[in-house]
Amino acid sequence: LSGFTLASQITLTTRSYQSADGFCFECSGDEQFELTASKRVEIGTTVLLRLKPEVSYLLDDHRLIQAIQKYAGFLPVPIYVNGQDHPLNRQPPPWIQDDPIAAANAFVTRETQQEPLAIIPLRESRVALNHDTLTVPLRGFLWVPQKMHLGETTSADLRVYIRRMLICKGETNLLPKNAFVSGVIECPMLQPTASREALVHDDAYEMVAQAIDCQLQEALRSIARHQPDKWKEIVSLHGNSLLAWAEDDWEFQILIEDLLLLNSSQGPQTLPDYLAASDGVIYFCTRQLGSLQERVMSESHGLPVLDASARAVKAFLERYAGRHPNTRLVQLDGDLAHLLQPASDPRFAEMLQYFSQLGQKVQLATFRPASIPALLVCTARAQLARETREALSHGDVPQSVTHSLQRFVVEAEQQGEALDGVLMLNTDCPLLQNMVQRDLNNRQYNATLQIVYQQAKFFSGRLLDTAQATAAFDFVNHALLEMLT
Amino acid sequence: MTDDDIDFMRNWLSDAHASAKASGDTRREKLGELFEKCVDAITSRNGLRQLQISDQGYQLARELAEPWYELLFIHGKITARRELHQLVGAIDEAVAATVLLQKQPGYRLMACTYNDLAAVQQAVDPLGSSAQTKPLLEYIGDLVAPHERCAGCLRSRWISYFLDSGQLEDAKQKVLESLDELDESDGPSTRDRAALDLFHTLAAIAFRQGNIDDMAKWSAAANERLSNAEPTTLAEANLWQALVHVFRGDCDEARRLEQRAAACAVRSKDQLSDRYYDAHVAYHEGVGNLGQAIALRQSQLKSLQGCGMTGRECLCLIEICRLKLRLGQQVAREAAHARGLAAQLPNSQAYFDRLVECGISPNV
Repeated sequence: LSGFTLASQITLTTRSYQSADGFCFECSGDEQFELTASKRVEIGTTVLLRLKPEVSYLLDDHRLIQAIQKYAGFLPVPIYVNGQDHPLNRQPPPWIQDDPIAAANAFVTRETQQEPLAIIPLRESRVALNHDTLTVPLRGFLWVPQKMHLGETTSADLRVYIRRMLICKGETNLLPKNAFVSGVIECPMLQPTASREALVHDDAYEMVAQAIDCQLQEALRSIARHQPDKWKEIVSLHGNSLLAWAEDDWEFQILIEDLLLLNSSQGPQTLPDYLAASDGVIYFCTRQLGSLQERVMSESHGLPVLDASARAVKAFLERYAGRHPNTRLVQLDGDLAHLLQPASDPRFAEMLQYFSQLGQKVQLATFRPASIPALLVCTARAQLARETREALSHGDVPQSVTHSLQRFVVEAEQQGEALDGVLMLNTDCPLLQNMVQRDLNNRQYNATLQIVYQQAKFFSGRLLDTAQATAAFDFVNHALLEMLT
Repeated sequence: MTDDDIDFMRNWLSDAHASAKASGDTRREKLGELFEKCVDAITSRNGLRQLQISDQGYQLARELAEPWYELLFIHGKITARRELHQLVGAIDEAVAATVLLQKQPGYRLMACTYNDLAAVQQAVDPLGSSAQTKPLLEYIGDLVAPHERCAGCLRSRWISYFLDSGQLEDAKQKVLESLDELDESDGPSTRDRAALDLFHTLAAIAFRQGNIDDMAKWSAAANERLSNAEPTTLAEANLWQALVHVFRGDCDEARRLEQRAAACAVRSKDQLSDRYYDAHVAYHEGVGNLGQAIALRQSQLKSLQGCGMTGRECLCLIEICRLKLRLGQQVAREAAHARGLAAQLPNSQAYFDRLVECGISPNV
């Protein structure tokens, strides 16, 4: 049947060695066919395909040779083109050669122009089937590829042969979820579709997938235990894929967690190295960008910060902290409160009252560097809610969309987000300490606090639009004038 | 929004990439490359990679102050998150994109941004967001041209809206419209995938309406398109067939199909859909195996936890309560959990009403 995807007519003549007469079968792909006696002299079979005009390009020698080598390269029957002396195929598949690992290695190197990191041979295996087991007649191999470029995931591939004919490439549904390996398999249990371009997804397909999954996991675990250097190399090159794999499998989490190289502000580091320097605390950022305020704060603590901008990294760190109770996780971005220690000092009561009267939420804290008198801290969500509120108040948003945005703002406020930020006064700051110790007159006192406040707004970097920035300068100018006069 | 708008954006992307390359602006060139990789990830249906690349692209776009790229990458992130059922923070991203969109009058893919907002609202809070979602969908309807590509996304949103609000006949009409409008320019596998989803939705609607003949009809129609289906879809197809056999009294065949569905589900690389769980639970309820039905809902609950789909998590708990009550079991713990989740949502009442329907007080 698959012949008719290319041919408009197929003629088959055949003669048995036991018979003087042959037969000729002719069909044009419909329900009718013709079977006649043939005067064929030689013993054997000839199949003649009359190609459809749209696929006549296949008659080009180069393309034909490529197709034969691709699909029939492993067939034991020799294939000749245009009377050439040497067959185009006759290359035995790696898994039946004397040294299958070396043959597979050579095959992968030839096909991908890269030597694989590891070859995982596949064998016949038994899979669970409800209360029974079934033997899957599987042969072939998987390979762990080298990475093409730093930071990229290599696409997995799986080539499937049935009785040594290539049926399809890219059959990655047979590979486990998040697999980073590629492979070549042969399995007579798999059923090709009528056109032989794809595989039927039946029970056998599921069992073959299960057999591959089991053997791959077993092989990777074996590499991790018995070939630590190779495992280290695999983890460092395929960390992203293994991270995703570890999400579903605790054992993989354990196998990779001390080897994985994570990006930190001080270069790539493994978690054990990082934790030795950070005193058991993992500081991470889910945004590659932090504001100047966040960066100054982090660096003043001398903290190497891990880049957890990829979701899988954050999930990995959370699982790590879950497994190691002495490890603490601190997310720096969008929530600077982690770097601030709440403080309490009755001498600052008047100062707190001053800011409360301005309608600004305010708290006392200690933080480094001590030269910063105050910070305006706003969570990422509060900041977004504030921007949303502003967009709504400007009347830019279409009426039908406002309901959704209003709901978001209300929800953020209900959840206790301070849309205008919380002013954190640093009780360690020499300026503020000086102010509470000295007996300043009201004008000087208020003017200084106003400058501290506006500085904090500028420094927060995200809370001001152009009009508000101008207003902040006006406040500072006014305060300075107050102090000069 | 029309196909012309999509072409306009394609040309803009191509020009922006070419101009970055010509001027040696490697960081902006990288933005273009990331976008191409994102499209590749979408084509190969690799949600995790799509999410990672979109996130990387979004960060870079912010850094370079490239708002159109920001909007495109947020769209990439949200579609990937929906595929992966990872919606923590998705509502913030959808709102951020909507706010940014208001400052970008020349940007042509507005419908995608609004569609994302509606989709995330529906996924996070299916019962409580209808007052916001309906006007939003009507507005998107004004933006997109009928019979063009974007109209398909809008129809999907309306189908979810009608299903969540129990308007089953309206949902059915939209699904039938979508079947009529399947895009002939798409490849056969894409068309089959879309058709399968629609047939399974029709089977689910027929089941909810108690129309077993229709359920059989639509699940049979789905079976015609299964040749290249992925395990998740195969699992669902087998379940609808199994359910039809349950209702027709052929329990042996139903059991065989259900076992096959369960095997496909184990192999599935994608998240199992709510519809899969509904069908599977219905199967076990149909054969009187309520313990298994509860176990399935518990497994669904586990898959929903920590994914940011508070409303769906709450509904799953209410379903567990319903099943446990049928078995005469205690539901105090699940009911308290459901109440707690409902209280986190702006419109808790819709969920409390569901609790009352199950015979559980909304108050502690």
